[in-house]
Amino acid sequence: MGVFKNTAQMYEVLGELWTGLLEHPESGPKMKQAGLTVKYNLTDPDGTLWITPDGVKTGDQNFKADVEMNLAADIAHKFWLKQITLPAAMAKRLITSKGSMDKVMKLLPLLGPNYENYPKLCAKYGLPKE
Amino acid sequence: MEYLELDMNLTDEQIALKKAVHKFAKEVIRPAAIQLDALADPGDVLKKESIYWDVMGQMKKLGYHTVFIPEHFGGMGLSPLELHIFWEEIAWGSAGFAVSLGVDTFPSFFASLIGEDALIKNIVEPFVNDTGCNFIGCWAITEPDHGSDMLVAGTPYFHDPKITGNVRARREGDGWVINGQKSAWVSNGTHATHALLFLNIDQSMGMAGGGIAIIPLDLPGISRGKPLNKLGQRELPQGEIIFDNVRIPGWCMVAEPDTYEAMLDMTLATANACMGAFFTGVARAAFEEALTYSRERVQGGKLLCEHQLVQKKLFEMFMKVETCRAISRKAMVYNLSNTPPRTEYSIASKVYCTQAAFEVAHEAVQLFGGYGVSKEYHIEKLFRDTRSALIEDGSNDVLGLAAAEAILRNYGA
Repeated sequence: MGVFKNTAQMYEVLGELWTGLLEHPESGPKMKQAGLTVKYNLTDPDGTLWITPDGVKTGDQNFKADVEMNLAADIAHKFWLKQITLPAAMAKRLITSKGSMDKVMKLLPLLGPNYENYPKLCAKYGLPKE
Repeated sequence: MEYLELDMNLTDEQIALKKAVHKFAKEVIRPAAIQLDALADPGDVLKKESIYWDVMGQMKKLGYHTVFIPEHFGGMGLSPLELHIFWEEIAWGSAGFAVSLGVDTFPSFFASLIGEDALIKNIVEPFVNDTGCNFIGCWAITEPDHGSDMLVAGTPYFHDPKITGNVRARREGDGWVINGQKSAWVSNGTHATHALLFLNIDQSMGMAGGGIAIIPLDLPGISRGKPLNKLGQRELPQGEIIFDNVRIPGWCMVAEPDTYEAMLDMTLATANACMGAFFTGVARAAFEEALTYSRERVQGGKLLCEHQLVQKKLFEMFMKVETCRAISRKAMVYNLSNTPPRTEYSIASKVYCTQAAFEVAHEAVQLFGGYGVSKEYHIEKLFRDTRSALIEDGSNDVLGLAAAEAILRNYGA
């Protein structure tokens, strides 16, 4: 059994997380300025999350992703809890990506608020932090 | 001499990048490399008044050392295609300077990928802001008892506990202690201020029990060997690094055995992709030398290029150069755009391009006749430089075996 009950809950938690980042007073404008569309292909539960300059979308969409990341939902959960780093997850093949690394790297410094907010979301939605 | 760009989708900025880097390679890098190559004592390359420092300093002022570093850390953050364009032109000027600048970027490039605060503050920021050769990197992997065999993750012997590295790290408190020796083929090993150091942590896992550390090279217990005296790429200083109870803080160790093999594979995929781009540039340089000479030199009452045999040779050289660019661009763009990379394609690029560059330089020497083996002509240097490349960054034979393992594992699977 994974961390998320189902796809709907995963969309709700991760959607709120990313929406918060896009509305963050410092990171939000920079995220939008970067102009990147990132597609997360998640498994267990299965789903697709799109982070675009215009907001968070879920499921099948007619966008072109600049970067595509494939990972299990539980790995996304661990990543936001800082229990696994991106290079380690990539090295262990827990995350695979398509799209040039410089585009992925552009976003990393803007993600600080997500690390702060995710434990709060875990508490709100009753997700484990260990 | 400008080649026809077959990629019709290059932007104006990419074309401008190619022209600017080519101009620098022609006016600054190549003349300096020829001057340094002629020095009898390789130690003189690094003397205070050597032109080596002037060229590296100019590249740092232009920001060329930051091509792999993302823009938000202050780097140029070139795309994979732009990286290929950049490296082909630099190496057209000099393979040795391309390698020296390439490994210079390695510690900081790795640090920027990991992205942790201590690495950004201690490694990436000082590197990016360096305009005076105060921060020079190297890739310390090759060892007295190990060369190409250190590179080829995924092969059966890589997990044999009887085969382990010469440089070893053991945990002590919050940090690590390092002992052992890296061999004389460490590019920039003679003078680098920082190293991306590949070492062994868990001997029971064989070569796979490795780790990767990013360390300053002014720590107590670190010493250097003499600059290597060698056949080709003599403008590239190479030398041993010796570690005697060297203590490093914990943040310096960026990979341990659980991720080592995959990190090594990603490193090889990047390094070999760069070698493909480098030796596309060198193959082109050798071809252009031959083409120019054939248009000037008269033999048997007519220009060399008017002889049909010479024309056929020139065509074959041209074909190899274009094939080099085709495979090396594709391999670099794919493997710098996908994680995990398909390393067999980077290896194919490295092996093909270095072999082709050697063959083109060899044919060019033949076309020059006696002058081809004279120090008077640049082609003699290019021939020596390309010979070294068949071994550099992994010998082509061993790399081919590693690629074959990957092909058997991946192709059609």
